Amino acid sequence: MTGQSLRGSSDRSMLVLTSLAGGPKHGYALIQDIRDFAGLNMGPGSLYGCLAKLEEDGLIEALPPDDRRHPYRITAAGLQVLRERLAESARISRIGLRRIAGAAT
Amino acid sequence: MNVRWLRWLFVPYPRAWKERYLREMRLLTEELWLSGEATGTRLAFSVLSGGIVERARSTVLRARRSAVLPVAAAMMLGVGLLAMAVHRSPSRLHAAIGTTIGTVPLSAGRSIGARRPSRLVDQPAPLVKLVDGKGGVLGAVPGGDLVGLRGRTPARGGVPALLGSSMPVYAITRAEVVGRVYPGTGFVPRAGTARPDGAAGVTLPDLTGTITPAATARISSLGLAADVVNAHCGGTALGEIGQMSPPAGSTVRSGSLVTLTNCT
Repeated sequence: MTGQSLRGSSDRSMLVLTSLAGGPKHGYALIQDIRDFAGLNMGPGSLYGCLAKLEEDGLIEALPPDDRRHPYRITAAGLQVLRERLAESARISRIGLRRIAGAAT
Repeated sequence: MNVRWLRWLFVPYPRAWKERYLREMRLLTEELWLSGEATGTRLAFSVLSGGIVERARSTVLRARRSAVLPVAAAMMLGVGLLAMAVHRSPSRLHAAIGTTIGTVPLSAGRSIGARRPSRLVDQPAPLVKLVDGKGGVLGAVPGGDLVGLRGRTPARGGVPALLGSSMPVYAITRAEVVGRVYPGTGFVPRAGTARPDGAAGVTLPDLTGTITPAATARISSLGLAADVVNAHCGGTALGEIGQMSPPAGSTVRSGSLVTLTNCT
């Protein structure tokens, strides 16, 4: 999956990738982390929908089970896609903020 | 707390998905339920909606894969139509084997005729081209399909009759006859590539009474194409030419088809 193809995908996938960029996490930790930094309460259905798609695309991979929990980590491809997507978001954010600042004066 | 009621929430998920994610997703759902971080309604909605989405995704993927079937059916239909066209063609057909046969001579005595038609499938040529008497390529079918034409109404001079009789098989290179295959004789290459001057024409020698392989070799050496048909002849030895058409002494153009009747 490239940044271009990810553009049309759910922002939740980006949140999962962003969370995993900070280190491997299992489902429960992912939900808590995303709630902390994004303020979004993801349910198990949407979370595992994202995880399955990201794993299928090779952007994340499952680690051996820790107790009963199954942690995931981001792959090199996932980091690359996340970097591209965040850079693009940052560029659009800068443009938007500049225009807002211009409109306010 | 009893969380067995969670089980039925996973019913909509496809089997493959369950095999991969069911255990860990159930564990997460139980954790969220038992910790009080999510209400039962919210969990039920999330898991059920996720299951419906995954089921729909799986169905779409399966439908895409099944699109292969119509393509395969269309290809089979095409092969069938070609076989029908060959069978119904009024023109005189011959089986012509591709260029590889020229470099892989058939062993003498190898039958390609009616008794062991499967031998034709064993030939190294991967494809059997169908050409008319003038060398025009009418199409190509796998060797097995050509053998399969046997047993249909044996149109006089058509492919079934050829397969069941003397079976003159043309080995062609770019629609040019380079030799033939005869049952019991094998591949007889055409002698030389130079043809007599077509404008001047070729006078046919009298080949009646000549053994069939020698007659066909002679025809080939003259730059002509021989077509061997089997027939009962009175007074002529078996395996010899009893009749030829056009008759001996006729002048024909280079590359013309000469029909030789092999007495059986």
